[in-house]
Amino acid sequence: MRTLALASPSRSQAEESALRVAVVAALSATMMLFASLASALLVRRAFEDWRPASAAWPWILLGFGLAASAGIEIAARSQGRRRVAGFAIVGLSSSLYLAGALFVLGSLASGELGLSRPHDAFIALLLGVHVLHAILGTAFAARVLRATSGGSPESGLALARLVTHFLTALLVFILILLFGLQ
Amino acid sequence: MSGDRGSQGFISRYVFSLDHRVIGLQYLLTAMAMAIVGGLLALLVRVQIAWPDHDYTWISKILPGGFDGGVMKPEFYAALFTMHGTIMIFFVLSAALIGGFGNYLIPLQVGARDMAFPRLNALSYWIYAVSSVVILASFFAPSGPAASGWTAYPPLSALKGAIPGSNLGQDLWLVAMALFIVSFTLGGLNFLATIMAMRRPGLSMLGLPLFTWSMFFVAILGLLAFPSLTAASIMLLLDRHAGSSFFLPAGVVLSGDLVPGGGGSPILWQHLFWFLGHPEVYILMLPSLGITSDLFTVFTGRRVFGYKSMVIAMALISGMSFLVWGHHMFVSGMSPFLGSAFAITTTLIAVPSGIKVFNWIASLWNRPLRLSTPMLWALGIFSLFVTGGLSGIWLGQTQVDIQLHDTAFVVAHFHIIMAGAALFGVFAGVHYWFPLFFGRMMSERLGIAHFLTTFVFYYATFFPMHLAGIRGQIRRVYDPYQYEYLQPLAAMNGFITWAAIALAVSQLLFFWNFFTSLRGGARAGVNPWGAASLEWTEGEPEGPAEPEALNPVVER
Amino acid sequence: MQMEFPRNAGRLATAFALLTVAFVAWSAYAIATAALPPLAANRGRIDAAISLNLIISGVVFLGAHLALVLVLIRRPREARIPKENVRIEVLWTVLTAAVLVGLLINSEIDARALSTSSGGPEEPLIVEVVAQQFAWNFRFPGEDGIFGRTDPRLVDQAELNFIGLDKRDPAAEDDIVMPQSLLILPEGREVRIRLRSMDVIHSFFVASFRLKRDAMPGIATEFSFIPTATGMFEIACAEHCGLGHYRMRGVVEVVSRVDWPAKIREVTE
Repeated sequence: MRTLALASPSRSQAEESALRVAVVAALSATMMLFASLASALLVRRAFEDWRPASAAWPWILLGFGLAASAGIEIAARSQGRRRVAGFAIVGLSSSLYLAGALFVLGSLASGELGLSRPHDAFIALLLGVHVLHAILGTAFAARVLRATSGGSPESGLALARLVTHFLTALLVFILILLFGLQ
Repeated sequence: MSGDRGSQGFISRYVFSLDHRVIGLQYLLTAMAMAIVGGLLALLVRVQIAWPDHDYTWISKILPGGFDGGVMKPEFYAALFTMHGTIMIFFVLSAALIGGFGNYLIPLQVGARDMAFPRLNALSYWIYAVSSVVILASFFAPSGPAASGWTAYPPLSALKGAIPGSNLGQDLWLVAMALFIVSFTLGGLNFLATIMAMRRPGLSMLGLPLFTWSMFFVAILGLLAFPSLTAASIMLLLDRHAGSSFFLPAGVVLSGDLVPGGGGSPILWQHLFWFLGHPEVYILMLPSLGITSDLFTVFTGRRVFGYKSMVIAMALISGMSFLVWGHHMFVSGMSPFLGSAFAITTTLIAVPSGIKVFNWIASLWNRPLRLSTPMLWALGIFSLFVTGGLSGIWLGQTQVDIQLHDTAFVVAHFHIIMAGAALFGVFAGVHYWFPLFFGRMMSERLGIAHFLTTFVFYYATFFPMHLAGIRGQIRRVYDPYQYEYLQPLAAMNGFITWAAIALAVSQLLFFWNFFTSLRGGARAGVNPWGAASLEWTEGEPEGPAEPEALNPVVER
Repeated sequence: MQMEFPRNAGRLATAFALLTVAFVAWSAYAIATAALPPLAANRGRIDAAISLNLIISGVVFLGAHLALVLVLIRRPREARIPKENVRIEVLWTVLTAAVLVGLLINSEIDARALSTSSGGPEEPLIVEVVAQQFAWNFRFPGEDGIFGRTDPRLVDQAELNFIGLDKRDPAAEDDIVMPQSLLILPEGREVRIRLRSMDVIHSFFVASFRLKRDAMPGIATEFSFIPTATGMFEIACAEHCGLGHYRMRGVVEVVSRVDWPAKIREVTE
């Protein structure tokens, strides 16, 4: 048996495939986390002390999330300057989302009743965990885009797209759970 | 780059190494150190159960916080069984079997240069190492180590006044578990990516050793099950510190004072915890099942009987493990309908387990056996799997479980099937792969002596415990003889403790064998056991793999 | 490099066989002497189920280990691999499943039987059991059959009002509150227990009655049984509940139906 070592500046197919497996696995784990949190909410909201409050901020955060998804779509479907614009939209929307979410969390925590009302507690829980994943996801997307920019940017972009849409879908999911159910 | 050993400093070669083999050994050695701690905790627990009036003056000099004038404090006893369980399950067995063997062997068994993400791999180890430090730090919390059981049921774990360890000790426990889960998750990503995407071209999944298959299933189980505990732990932290009431009901009166807030459900924690907890015990079992099948292959010289059905059995066990968690909660007052549903799934999970046992017998029947130490351990796993599996069937029936839940019967069951089979798997793996890790053989004589003493004393410790449970000896009890109906068990508990002490002392044989063989063991050839799996074809361990390099394409 | 295999594997196997037999014999003897406490309630189906499991487990345990011993003793020089036999694989799978399903069905039948109330003409005796760190509180609803209102804010340990009974509630006037950790029951009458907890999770376990149920804070659960023997039976807390978990002992004293009212008066006056 002879062995040939192939040197190449770009990522091999195996490593690309490995990254895809890892991302899907990570997203599956994240889904299970939110499924657990969601099941807790669904049980809790049946208790008599569940009083959902309404507010404007969910719509604002939703807007930022959708904008981030729109941005990555633009980046994925175009080249050159439009692509850069797409990335800029994603970056800006993500930052605004994070700032807004942290503001909501901060005012909940420092509020008079704190997290003693169950609906508030679940807002803090779901939004807080989402923020954490949004930070991880954004950092990952940025890294994978930079790493693949030299060789095959499309594969990195595909992953960044997946992660961004996943985070947006999660945001929609938790907002529906918190504010959209009767 | 890989040939230039001298240019790599000690730190990057042995401490912050990216080499999966170094990382694997780091996990293994850390786990061995934690095992000593976990084992000592168990001994203290056993001594207390057998002889509740024991005078611990000599220990109280080392750990003054746990004792009051030579007498162990009940909250310290609670901390002992809490930390013993937590450390052994996560920081010893998961770490050794999955972090240790998994990391070392998966790339070799699939024919890859290293794990898919070596840097992530190193990060996994170091997060685990930090989490080990944090869990040990719980012992030094001023108000005492976490003491609500490894199961940490609220409100006991949520209310700081409910037991002394529920202050900082419990928080440290939660932080350590969170870090451990992050480590395990990162590891699981690496394992799946490597097994699925980095196999040597031409090597199909069905050509893999059953150990690799076990790692595949363990990774999936971990990724899908641990998030439930993560969710629960975050909610518990919020209940403890942010005034929420996920798990705290209204109207709790602690020491005569009403606890404010409430409206939550303690049973929610149980559901979330056991949704992880049950798959977790299969996470611990599967590697040993894989190792046993592979060792049967090597030491009978023929492939294990029914390789494909072994894979299917592992898949069924893994999948069904998500459907049985309620059997830990049969007496919690849940609806009888739910109870029946979980009883059905629990009983049915014994079917694929039974398939494995029959396949093993068929793998041994009419075949020549080489009874080297690794094979002895594999046979030991076979025995423990049968015994422990049988007692599990008892517990899976709702009415029998009423009598046996939270008694010593349960303790006997899981120590035999989970702890025992997993522990024997560690010993089997260490003896078997020692020549691969270190280029030398462990002593057969010491190995056989260690096996025989451990096997005998393990059964001597845990078999009688079933009887104590049937009698009605409750778990987690600082002094059973407060109850008249348990006083006849004094002699049996004494016997069990002596057996446990003998078991602990026997482990010195293992440590002695391990450390003396590192330098003085007989030099091993490339494939001393005559195995056919890929890890034995690598030859002498080379330098570290290049993280960014391609896998070489093999041409015949 | 030559491996040294143990030459005395046959002796090893024989020793193992003898040890196994010795173990099993000793276990059988120990079971006879350290078994379940004598049954004192109408829940003997559990004892029968335990015996059934014991027999089946014993057979499988011995069978599997006999196979192991035979394998160790026989040690053929060459392998004789049977051809792939799907029929035998199906057979042993079906056999395993059949035994397991049999046990399951038996358990489900027991579950139905044990959870339905006796349906006799007599009203069950209702007892409220409230667990706390680290004692048991029992009360009967009295003549009116209604439990008086409790409020956690009314708990006053100095006044021995451990469950926060609202003395102003008319229904509470005839409630019979037992001394802590002592429950007196009449033999042969169905008892329905309403179980809850003041603080953390406890578990009401009477080994002699084959009875165990978790006491949850915030939720009350109910279950019934009939004591079938007089005597003193210990209650143990079966869920880790704090530093006093080991001493959370209670006693159920079962007396004849004739003596029961007087006994109650004796301890509550």
